[in-house]
Amino acid sequence: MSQKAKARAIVQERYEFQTVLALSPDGLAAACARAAEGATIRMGGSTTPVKIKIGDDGTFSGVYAIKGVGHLLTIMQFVVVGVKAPDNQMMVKLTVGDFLFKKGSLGMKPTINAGKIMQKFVDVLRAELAAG
Amino acid sequence: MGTFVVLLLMVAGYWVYRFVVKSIRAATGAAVDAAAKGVSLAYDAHKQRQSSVMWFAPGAGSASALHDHLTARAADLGAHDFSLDLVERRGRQVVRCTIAPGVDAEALRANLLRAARESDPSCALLLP
Repeated sequence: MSQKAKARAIVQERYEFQTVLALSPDGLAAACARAAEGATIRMGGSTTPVKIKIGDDGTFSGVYAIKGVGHLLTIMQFVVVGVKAPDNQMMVKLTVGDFLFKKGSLGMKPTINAGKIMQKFVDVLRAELAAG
Repeated sequence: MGTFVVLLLMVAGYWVYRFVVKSIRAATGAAVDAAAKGVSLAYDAHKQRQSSVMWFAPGAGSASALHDHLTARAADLGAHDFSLDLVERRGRQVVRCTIAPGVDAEALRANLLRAARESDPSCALLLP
């Protein structure tokens, strides 16, 4: 298994999720905005929205980027998508796109850059979604 | 005949060398993997024993009102699982919630946020 594949597996296990809940696209947008606001580390990086789109058909898609200090380097990109599900519910899915990582040496696991910021975003978003 | 024997010995020696090196590499790799797994498990156990913390920053209302509301709701949410206090964080008053070790932080976070929203709909959850 290559280092890239190992890093991808870690990202999928720790950060990506999918859930179905009763929520409006505006509610999901507000939850994502609050999570992005909280997902920041002083002198470490911050989460910034790249493209937010609320469709007329009740869908939501938000592309976010975790940028390093000075907003020069994009460390990770991820997308939160909300699509309509049966029974007036919404299926919310978080998928991570490109990301930077450090190779693990001597059999150690790779380290995901900005993993702590991403964990904060996921934890706050999950709490926001669960709180409704 | 002598040259043939020398060549045969050289080829055999190379294969023996390759086998030995491969065996050592495999054994070392397995040992390092096991050690890394042990360290990772020990770290997870250590994190489980630690108490975690989170803050609620007020939106429209005040931090003391939010603190009073959460304290009043503490009995419904499991008062033994967490403690609340009013602190100053980065220049503003917030409510700090310290979660006891071993408590499911994810479920408690959602329940506390839901309770906090009853008092202050625009309050924000902050994590360390």
